[in-house]
Amino acid sequence: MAAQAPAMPAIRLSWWIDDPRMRRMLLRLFGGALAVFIGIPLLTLVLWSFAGEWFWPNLIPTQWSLRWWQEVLENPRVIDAMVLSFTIAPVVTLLTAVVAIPAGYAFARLDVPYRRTLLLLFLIPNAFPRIGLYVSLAVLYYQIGLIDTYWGVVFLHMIGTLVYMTWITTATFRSIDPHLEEAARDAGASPLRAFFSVVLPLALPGIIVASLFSFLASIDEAQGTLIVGTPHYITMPVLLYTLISSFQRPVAAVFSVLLALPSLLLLVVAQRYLHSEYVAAGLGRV
Amino acid sequence: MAVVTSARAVPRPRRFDRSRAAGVLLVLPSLVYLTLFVFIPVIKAFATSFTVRDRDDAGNYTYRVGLDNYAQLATSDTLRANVIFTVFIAVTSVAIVFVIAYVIALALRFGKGPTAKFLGRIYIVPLFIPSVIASYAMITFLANHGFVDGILQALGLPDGAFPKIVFDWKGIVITQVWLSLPFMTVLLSSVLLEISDSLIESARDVGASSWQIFRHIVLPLSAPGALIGVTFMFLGVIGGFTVPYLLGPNAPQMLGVSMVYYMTNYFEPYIASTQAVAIFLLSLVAAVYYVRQQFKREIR
Amino acid sequence: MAEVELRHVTKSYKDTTAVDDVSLAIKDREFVALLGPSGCGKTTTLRMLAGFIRPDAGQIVIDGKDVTDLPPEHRPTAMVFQSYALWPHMTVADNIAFGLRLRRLPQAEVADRTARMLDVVGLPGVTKRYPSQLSGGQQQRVALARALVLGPKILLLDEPLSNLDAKLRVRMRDEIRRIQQELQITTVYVTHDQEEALTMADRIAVMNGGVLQQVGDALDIYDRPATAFVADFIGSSNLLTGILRLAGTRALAQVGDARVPVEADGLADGAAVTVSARPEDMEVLREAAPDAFRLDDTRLVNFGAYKRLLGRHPAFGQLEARVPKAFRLGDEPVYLRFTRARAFAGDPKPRG
Ligand SMILES: Nc1ncnc2c1ncn2[C@@H]1O[C@H](COP(=O)(O)OP(=O)(O)OP(=O)(O)O)[C@@H](O)[C@H]1O
Ligand SMILES: [Mg+2]
Repeated sequence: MAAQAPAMPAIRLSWWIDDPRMRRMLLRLFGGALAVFIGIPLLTLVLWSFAGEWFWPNLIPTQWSLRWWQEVLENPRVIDAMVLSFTIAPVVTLLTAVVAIPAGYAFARLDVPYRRTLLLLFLIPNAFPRIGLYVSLAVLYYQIGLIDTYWGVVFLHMIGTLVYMTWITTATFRSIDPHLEEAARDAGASPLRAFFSVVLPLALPGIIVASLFSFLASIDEAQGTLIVGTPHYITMPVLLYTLISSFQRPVAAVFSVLLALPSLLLLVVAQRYLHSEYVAAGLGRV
Repeated sequence: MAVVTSARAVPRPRRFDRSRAAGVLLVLPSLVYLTLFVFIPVIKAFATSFTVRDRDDAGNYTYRVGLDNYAQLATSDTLRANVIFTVFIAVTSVAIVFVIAYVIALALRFGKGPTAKFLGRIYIVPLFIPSVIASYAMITFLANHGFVDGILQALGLPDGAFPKIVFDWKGIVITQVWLSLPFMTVLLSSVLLEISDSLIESARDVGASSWQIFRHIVLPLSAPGALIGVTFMFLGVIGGFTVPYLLGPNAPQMLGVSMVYYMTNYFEPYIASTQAVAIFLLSLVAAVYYVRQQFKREIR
Repeated sequence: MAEVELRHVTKSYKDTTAVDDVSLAIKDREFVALLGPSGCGKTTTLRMLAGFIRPDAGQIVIDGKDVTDLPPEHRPTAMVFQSYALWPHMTVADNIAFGLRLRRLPQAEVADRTARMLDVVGLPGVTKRYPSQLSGGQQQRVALARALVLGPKILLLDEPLSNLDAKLRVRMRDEIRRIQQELQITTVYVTHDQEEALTMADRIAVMNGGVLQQVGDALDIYDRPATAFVADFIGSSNLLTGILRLAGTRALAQVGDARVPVEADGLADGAAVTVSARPEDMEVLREAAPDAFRLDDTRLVNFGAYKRLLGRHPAFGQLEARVPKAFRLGDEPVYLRFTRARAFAGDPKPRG
């Protein structure tokens, strides 16, 4: 069936696409450029964090030192911010899970009235510009006294994580054969028992990924926390704002590396769970 | 035949429907949460944007409903410049990310060599870097007397010839591209995965070149899914704060930054809310498209 | 002792009536097959018996007790799913023991009953494996064991063999029947495969379009189909439309120019009828006869032990007859005469 097609107008500029060697070379160039673009900025930060002395235009520090690390780790503001970040993130994750998992299950399995409308409402947080939402929320917080409070920050963090986790869990529960649950009921399990014995264990990978992303999203959230949490609830990324603005380059670099560690650790640990659909939905955080 | 003889049974009385009741109960907490922390603020933002605060001679504030805030947004040169700047940044960064991500996604979908594998490993990294850190990394990387400047010096560029990238629109765009690359690539990859090999092979069978296959098959088939990514990223950039705050110029500002300034520095929630609604209206087409497409996917 | 009864059970969805006023009484230890084409409501009926679906109207009675409003965990039924629905995160032993543990039986008894049940289904020594490490046939046996271990009064099976290859299907057929006989358990077996139904069941309930067409043993429904649908669905039949003529004790159907002697229970003279005849109840003639139907475009299909003669009648369309394997076609036309036929009221395929 290799009859030549009535030739679509050949586009001359694209000759190289059909030449495998040329294509391979271009792809390599592209890959190299991408690696530089993604990797070198991060590498520079790491270098800065260990730089004792680095005068421009030297390409690497002229003196190495752990001085900045020591300074950062002894700074009480840094310690406070770390403690705060790591106490907020688990609470956000837990609360999100408690609220989102039942909703995800209901959307996937149960006969929820007005299901379509509800699903539509769950898209609003992503459709309204995030910073605009945070500013409005701040106004509301002033009125109800949640501004500059622990719970104010927690609830703000949950905006992104809740929607994300609801979607993930809905998809996860939907992918589990409903007959598995029915078989458990048939064997004498109550609806609750069937859920905990059969559905939950099978949904665990999806729930774990969603929880990890929620944790990270909470650790990383800066713009909303800056608006509703100052001056008393300074999380790590919010503190980084001020460090960057105060032009203490090595200090900010150390702190950046510190702040990036949990995420990078996760990248290594979670790699095999990172199905593309989770990641795609996980980018509620921009 | 069956033994039962009575007439056709009457319908069973409608019983309390457990499944529906459970459904409502399970969705309720998240609905309450969303109402309190999303829907009410959104509605309040709209309301506030139509509230005008006047100050009378005695120095007391009076409030009324009006379009004055919008008028101010439209007539103030600064604010208007901010709106145009915001849209420009959003469109530019989305376009650049789209092209780069598409190339990576194509390589991941159709490439088999080590380069494709390598791409698959590195493109995901920015996903795990908080945007504050990414912004800061980009500052040290791209600033005047930064890393790139240093390399160019070593290659013989005269001091001071390096263009201004940080604290300029270019810095915002480059950093947004950096941050959004993983999301767009993942999305496009999953869209490309849905195009079956047989479609490509049958096109090749009738003699189409790689370019023609891309132009007439891959591109059109991936368009709807790709547009979800484009709109989502557009919404993210337009409503973003961190990157323009850390890397943007003092003027014009992106609306996210300007809004926060009006809120925290001038304590002007009215103008701030108006800008929020303006951002929303600016992105309304994108938002509606995004919601509709996502919705279709969800419902299935 | 377990009798099951469906009383005027009806279940509708938005645009379809999946099960329409079905009444069926199943006796103790009886093996009943629910047979019908795809979408006829078999699964819905079975799931109502199990308690997964609540009927819109009617009752389900087990041993004289109305269980219609009981959830599945409180019914003495056990179901084997088409997809087996084995829990992938539990071993074979844990799958089978799950229900026993829910009942807080002592550890030793759980282990003992699990092992015994695996013996019954002919699958000892796989307790530690996970379902994904078993073949389709083995999974099928585990699913059966899991359903039976709780000692249910009624066993429900939904097309349990449809995921197996043809050979295995025949073997499992005998196996399931053997186990059912051994345990003397009342069984409802859903299938769309008439061979399964005819070979396994004590009685067969034929459904179409949500309506119960006929309940009877294999001979009943093959030889004395109650509706034209059953006649057509079980085995195959030639269906023609005509007018019934009663002359004394004899009934004839006027089909075109031909008059076909028919069995017509309780039908009135002059009624519009569907005449149905099995391919084996056909006589093949080489020349025209008053009551015979001429066949054009004839061809033979070889089935090994016999042949089928297929042809087209100008007015009545496709007809077929079963002929001996020595049968040859010549150049001259052939004619079919019905040696045995039944008449049913109405159109050939009401609903469906
Ligand atoms: N949850 C549902 N919502 C809407 N319609 C349904 C639902 N379940 C079943 N139906 C419809 O009810 C009818 C009967 O379905 P059922 O599953 O009982 O058929 P079946 O005889 O088991 O078919 P098959 O042999 O294909 O399994 C079908 O027309 C089906 O489309
Ligand atoms: Mg079925």
